[in-house]
Order: sequence, then C-alpha cells, then structure tokens
Amino acid sequence: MEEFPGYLVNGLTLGAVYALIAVGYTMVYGIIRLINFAHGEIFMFGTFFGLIMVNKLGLDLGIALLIAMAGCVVIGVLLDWTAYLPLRRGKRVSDLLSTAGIIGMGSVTFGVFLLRQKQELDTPAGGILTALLFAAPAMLFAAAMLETMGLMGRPGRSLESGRMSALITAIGMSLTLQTIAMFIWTPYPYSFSESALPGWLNRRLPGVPVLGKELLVWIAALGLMGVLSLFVTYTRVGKAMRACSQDKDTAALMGINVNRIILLTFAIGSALAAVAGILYAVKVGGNISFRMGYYPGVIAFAAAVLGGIGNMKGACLGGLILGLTQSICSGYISSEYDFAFAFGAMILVILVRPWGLLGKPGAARA
Amino acid sequence: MIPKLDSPEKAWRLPAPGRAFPALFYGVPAAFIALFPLAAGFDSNLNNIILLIEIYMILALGLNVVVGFTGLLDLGYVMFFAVGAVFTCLCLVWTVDPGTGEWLFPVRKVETATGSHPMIFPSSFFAIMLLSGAICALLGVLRGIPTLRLSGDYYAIVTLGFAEIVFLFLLNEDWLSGGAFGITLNRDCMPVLFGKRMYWDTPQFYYSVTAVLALSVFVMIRMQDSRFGRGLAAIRLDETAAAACGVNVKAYKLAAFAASGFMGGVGGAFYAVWQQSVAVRSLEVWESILVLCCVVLGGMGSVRGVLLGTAILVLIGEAPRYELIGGVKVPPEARFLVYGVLIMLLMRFRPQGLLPLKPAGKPAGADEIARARATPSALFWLGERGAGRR
Amino acid sequence: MLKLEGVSKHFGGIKAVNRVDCAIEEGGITAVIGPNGAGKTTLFNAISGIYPPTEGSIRFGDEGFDITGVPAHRIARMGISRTFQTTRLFANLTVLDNVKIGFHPRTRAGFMGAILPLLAAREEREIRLAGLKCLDFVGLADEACKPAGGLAYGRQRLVEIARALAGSPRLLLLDEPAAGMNPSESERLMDLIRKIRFSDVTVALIEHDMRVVMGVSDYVYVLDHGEKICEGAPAEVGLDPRVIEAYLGCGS
Repeated sequence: MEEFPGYLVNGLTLGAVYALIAVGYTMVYGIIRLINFAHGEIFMFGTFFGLIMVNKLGLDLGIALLIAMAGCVVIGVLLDWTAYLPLRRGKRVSDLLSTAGIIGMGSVTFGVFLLRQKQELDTPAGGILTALLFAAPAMLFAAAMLETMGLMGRPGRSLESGRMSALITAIGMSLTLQTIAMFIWTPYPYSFSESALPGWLNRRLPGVPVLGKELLVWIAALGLMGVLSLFVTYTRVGKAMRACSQDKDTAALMGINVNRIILLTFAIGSALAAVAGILYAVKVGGNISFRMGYYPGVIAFAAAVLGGIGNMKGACLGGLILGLTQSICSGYISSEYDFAFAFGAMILVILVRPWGLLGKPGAARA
Repeated sequence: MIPKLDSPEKAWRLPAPGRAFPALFYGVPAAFIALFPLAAGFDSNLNNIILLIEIYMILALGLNVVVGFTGLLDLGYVMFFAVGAVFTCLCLVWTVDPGTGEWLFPVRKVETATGSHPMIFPSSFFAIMLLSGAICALLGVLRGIPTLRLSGDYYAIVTLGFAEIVFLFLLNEDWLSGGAFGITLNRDCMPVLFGKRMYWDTPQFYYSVTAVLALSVFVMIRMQDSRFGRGLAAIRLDETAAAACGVNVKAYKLAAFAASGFMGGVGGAFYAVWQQSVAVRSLEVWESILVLCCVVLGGMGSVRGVLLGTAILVLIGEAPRYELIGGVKVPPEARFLVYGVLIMLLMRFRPQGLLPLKPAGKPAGADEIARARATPSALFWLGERGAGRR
Repeated sequence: MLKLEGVSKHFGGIKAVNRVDCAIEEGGITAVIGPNGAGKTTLFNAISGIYPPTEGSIRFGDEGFDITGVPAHRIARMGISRTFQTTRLFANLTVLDNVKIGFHPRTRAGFMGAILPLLAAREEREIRLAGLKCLDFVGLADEACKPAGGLAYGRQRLVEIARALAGSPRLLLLDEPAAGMNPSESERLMDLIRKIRFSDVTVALIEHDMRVVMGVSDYVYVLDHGEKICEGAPAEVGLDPRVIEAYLGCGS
C-alpha cells in the first residue's frame, strides 16, 4: 500500500490535465454536437509553443503559458473558421476563402518541408514532379468545386450524413495539424530543458509526496476552472453560452449570435488546452512530439462523456476519475497498458451510461 | 452535369445512375491488372503498388459494408487488419519440433525426414486466409454485440477505443506478436499455393489477390441490390422505419460487422504475406483513418467510388516511397497531410464522394408495369381478389 | 383482431397513454382521434413494437397471441404494418426500393442470398414484380425509379402506405395519412383505404381530418390526455359531450 499515495498524486495530476482538455471538448460538443478531434492537436501545438518560449527564447514558464494560450486561441479560432463554420452555415462565397486557407495551410507546410530539404531539390525534374504530385489533389478538387458550384442549391448534399461529414472533417483537421507539426518540428520527441525551468518544480513539498510541478498543475487547473465557471455563470456572454448549449436554434431566435459564441468556445477550449499541454509535458518530463495530443485528447473526450457531455463540472469529475483509473490501474496491474485502462473505462461508460455521471438520460444521445 | 432527377422525362431515361458503363469501369482496369505483370514482370515496382492498391481495396470494401451500407462510422477497422496480419504470421511461423514435440517460436530451421515443411498449421494460403477472416468476423460480432445500441459519434469513438486496446495488446504482448519489432517471415515459412511458395512477386500471389478482390467486388455489388443490402440501407437511413418494415436491425448489423471483419482479416492475411512481416507499430489507428479516407473519397456506400478512392489515395501515399519524384525523400507520414486536406475539402464540397451512391435501379417501363399488373404474385395480391368478404 | 387491455406508456412521470382498453375488429376500419398530445401516436408505437408499453397487454389475431413488448421487426412479420406521422421514407432510395424493403417480412433470402446471387434470383424477380404491383395498387407505378425524397408530400404518404402494404399485413396502422393532403388527394386516399379494407386488410388510423374519419371509419376511439374518453360509431362519437369538451375546451 505504500505506493498508493504516489499513484493518487499522479492520478490527480493526470486527471487535472484531462479535465482541462475535456472542458474544451464538452463545451464544443455541448453546442454543436461535434467531437472536435483536432482538440488534441491544439493541445500539442500549445506544448510546442511553450517549448519554443522556454527552451529557445528562455522565457519564464508563466509568460510562456500566456503566450501559448494566445497562440492556441488563434489556432482554435482559425480551426473553427476554416473547417467547421462553413459546414454549419452552408455554402457561401466566403467559403472559397477558407478553402484557400486549407489549401494554403497544406502548401505552406509543404513549402517549409521543402526548404528543409533544399539540397535534395537540386534536380529540376524532382521539383516539378513533387509539385505535380501535390498539385494533383488540388486540381481534382478544383474540378469537384466547379461541379458543385454548378449544382449549387441542389438539396440532398448533406441529406444523409451531415453529422458524419463534420466528424470526418474534424478527423481530417486532426491529421493535417499533426502532419504540419511533424513537418515543422520533425517527428522526434523533445522535452523541456531542465535548466530553463524553475528549480522548485522538481522539488518535493515538505512532508507530502507531492512535487512542485504537480502542485502547479493542480493550482493552475483549479484556478482556470474557477475563473471559467464564474465566467459562464455570471457574465452575459457566459449565459449566452449556456443558452446555446441548451438549444442553439432558440438561442439564435433570442438574438444571440451563435456562431460567435461557438468561436468563443473554441477560443476558451484552446486556451485551456494550451495550459494542459505545457503542464502535461512538464509533468511527464518530455515526449513532446506531433502525436502527443492523440491519447490525451481521446481520453479527455472520454472524460467529457463520463461526466455528462456538455456539463463542465462533469468534465472535471470525469477527468479526475479517468486520471485516477489510469494511474492506479497502471500502477497495480500493468504500466504498459496505462492508456488501455482509460480506453476501457471510456467504452464502459459509453455502453452503460452514455449520458454520463452528471447528465440526464436522453439529454445527450449521440 | 448530372440531370436533375426531378423531371419525369429524364428520370425515365436515366441510365440507372451509379451504374453507367460498368463494363468500361470495371473491365479496363481488370484487363490492365490481369495483363500488366505479364508484360512488366511480377517483381516490378509498379506491380508492387498494384498489389498494395488491391489489398487496400479489399480492406476498403470491407469497411464500406459498415460505413457505407450500414451508415455507422467505424474508426477502429484497423484492428481486424492487425489481427488478421498477426494471425497469418503466427500460422506461418509457429512450429513444433518433430523430435521433442516442443512449440518453437519463432521458427527455427527444422530438419525433418521430408525436409520441406516446417509449419504445423495448414500451409495452404487459402486455409489460413479463410481462418483469419473467420476470426476477425467473430471479433467483429463480439465487438458489435455491446455496441448495437450506439450510433453516430459514440459508435465511432467506441470503435476507436476497441482498436486502441487491441493495438496496445498486440504491441505489448511480445510473445504473441513480436511486440514493437513485429514478426518477420523467413523465406522458408511462406505459405504454399499450387505446390509453390508464395512471395509478393510470384504470379500465384498476384493472381490470388486479384481473384479475391474480383470476388469481393462482385459480392459487394450484388449485396447492395439484395434483400440483405436493402435492409442495411434501410437501417442506415432510418432505423425505426427499418424495424417497422420487418428488418431485424440487430441481426443485420451483426451480419454487417461480421462481413466487414471478415474482409479485414482477409486483407490482413494478404498484407502479411505481401510484406513478409508484420510490425504492429505500423498498424496504428491512423491506418484505419486511411482506409476510411478511401471510402469517403470515393463515396460512402458506392462500390465503384470506394475502388476509385482507394486507387487514388494509395497512389498518392505510395508515390513518395518509391522515389518516383526525383531526389526528394518525403517521409511516409507526409501522405497524411494530403489525406487530411483532401477529406476536409471533400466534406466541404462533395460530401457524397467522387462517385456517389445514387438512388438506382433498372427503370420500370410502361410495358413492365402492364406485365406486372397482369401477372399474379404470391407476394402481393391486394386488389386481385376483388372484394373480400365484405 | 387486436385487443388492448389496460395499456399504459409512461415517459418518466408523464403518462402518455394511461390504461387504454380497445379492440380493433377484423375487416373494419377503426379510427383513433383526439386532440394533439392525446397519446394516439404513442399508442400506435406501443402496438407496433417501437417501444414496449409500461403495462397492459396487447393481443393479436383470432388466437389472441400476446404481442406485448415484442420487437418491431417481429411484429411486422406477424402481420401488423404501419406508417408514420411524419413520413419516414428512405429518402435516398428509389420509390421501388422503398417498397422492396417493405417485402422484408414475406421474403427469406438472407446473408447467403446476398453473397450468392443465384440463390435469391427468383425471389428478387418476384419482389420486383410484386413491388410494381404494389405501387400500381396505390397508383404510383409511374414513379417507381424516382428518389422517394423528391416526391410531393402527398405522394410520399402513398409510398409509405405501399411500403406498409408490401409486408402483406393483416392489420394496417395509418398514422395521420391525410396530413398535408389537399381535398382531392384525401378523397383519393379515402378510396384507397376502402380498397385496402375490401382486400381483407383491417385498417386502423389516426386522423385529424374529420371528413376522412367520418367518411371511412366504422368505429371510433377518442383519446384525451392518454385516456380513452369515448368510443362508438362515428356519428355517435361526434355528439358525445366529452368529445366536444376535449376538442373545444369546455362542454356547452
């Protein structure tokens, strides 16, 4: 039993991180019923931003957190603006702009990549062939676009699978962001350099088996959650947000700009994800890579479901439960399967109680 | 431009949409695939790519049964693929020392009197393949039973969870799957077909993949227009109405899961032999996203679309590997960028896919209606018997 | 033909249907009427197995077979077909395919029939033939290969009736068949309902259009707030003070 306090502390820390990510999922899902798969990637981007601030620029961790939050807010808003907003409001001319955004995103990344490999691009034939290879899908879609524009106004485009389209878009966004990160920062894992971080992070608190960084995670999570819940409960915008998650059509009739509220949810969720990412990397002590967002992301979604999707307190509770499950099960049963336990817990929750611990039955049928 | 279906005159003459020129669509590629290696040799690079495309086509057709026909988003399809591949490798490498009766793993050189067969499992490839398919079908049913009630996002995320658990299991159980390094098949433990060992560059392998693919395509096309396929379509479009029409929703879903799993297992078996190895690490969930992209790109539910989508995506993904593009070495993950951007744009502008599934069927002409009116039928007799008892 | 005894359906605390007894006579046309939210559709859902009733029993056929809580697809196989209040056609399929799905209870080809086409070829031919006959019966054979979702609303209702008839039901439940139809369409609908009854199919319908109710039905049940408040021949029911109160709010 003497390991138990350690597992508990570890689980609570993980849980706090999951809770921070889960809030982003639950807010978005609560309003637009979309599993924002790319949320895990925002978490990853936030970590990389923090990494650059701390390791390369030598900034203080607190300032790095703030800048990463700002960076992720931008990414989150762009994400909604380019990928999800057009799906929600139907086709408009401005969509061409966001399409250009998506294509541009892809090509800029590829450009970055090519610059890295410049020496290998010496053969002109190689360059042309590469360009063609990556232009081919773009041309394909130019053709598809022309056709769709010709058929504009035809009903039945999303007759069958509007929600499925949104989910697949989210998966596509997740893939894209991951690959972009891989191109920019290479596929190899990084970690925060110990010397750049304040020393108290790895020191033990007197008398309790808690490291400074674990305390930091708890305080940050508690503080942010507190601020968020005050914001949602007492401010005008917060109330509008809750109204949207109850019924966004009625909210729109009441004069709430739903799309702006959704954008705001993305922004808030992304900011929290940035904090979660940096704290997670500080806690785990490395493994910052382009795939790092995937597991915490899916598990945080599970946490959101566990607590009752759309319910912020539920997300925190779910995060803590899954963090503890993962930590305790991997401690006592098998550490190689740590994520498998969290996945198992998720499956169980969805099968047995899909409306979550704090939700109401029938409120959130997928 | 596709003619609008709303105008009656055009609807009559519509060449059964989604089914125009089937001979051309299937015939030309089929002839090419059948004849190409005879000209270029079975060990050419292009031949290798064709094989990969074919294997992914089998996988994509299998996924299409659940995603396209039944309308459930399966994000964990890779688990069938992985289990099928690992199982096939195990069948081929596990062996028994004839002297001591001990199980040996991985295979060692076993000298026997006859000398040729180190395997104890059936060395016939088709036996292994069918067995692998059957195991995966069972797995599909087992996974399906608890998830029957789910649909939409929750189904997607639960299948993802199952796939992750299977993935972590295979990754961590070194004794079973070789762990992160995987299992490599020696030259002398490859399966036997028509008395010869199969490698990726042998005609037996090439034509057995092709034959299985052709069979799958045929079955899928037939399935769409069968009672079973219509039942699945009904489930996809409206589960309640389907049940009210007498469709046994649960049984049909389970059958679809089994069929899908079977195809996944078969694809995995081919993949293992094609690669002569299986590395679990490469069978992550993103691999099932790739197969999903193939299905989505072509058009969920449309067999032609799925085949086209697979061909396009595998070509895009494989081209860099074979250095077809000069000196630039693109890491294999680069294809995910293309896939990601591609499916995002697709969902925006053409969510139904490149060759979408359309309401189809042989149009009924006036003469056929007249004939139907005149012919008595055991299935429908209302109005025939005139006034009943009243 | 169909006997309901004390059937209730509760959703949480709401008693959508409360202890309703009724009997549907073989060979007749029975109408269920009542104001909005009276529990008519819930009653039909309980009969057709969309969800099981909270209490009570439902017996079907001369032998009084208990079908309480039997799943929907088996009820369809026993010979009860239904249509829905808001049409639930398979909008992306053709009209003929919709009807073909309706033949499910009466056909057999299963998974193997899908894989080995020869096994099911005869049945498929038969289904196509019968499907066209069925569409011809409701007067829609000309529209057989159009997407069902593209038809006018009134015609979609007819397709749904054809799909229900394809299962060769002994009892046909129609949920507001005349909703959204213009007078001439509902006139034709009444003809069709009579034609169905004369072909030995018992019909039960929910309807708001009193002309249709009075025009076709033999017997009427009136529900209000989940309870049966009146039953009888159409002419009598219209005079019953309880019915007038339910519809108009207060007895006069």
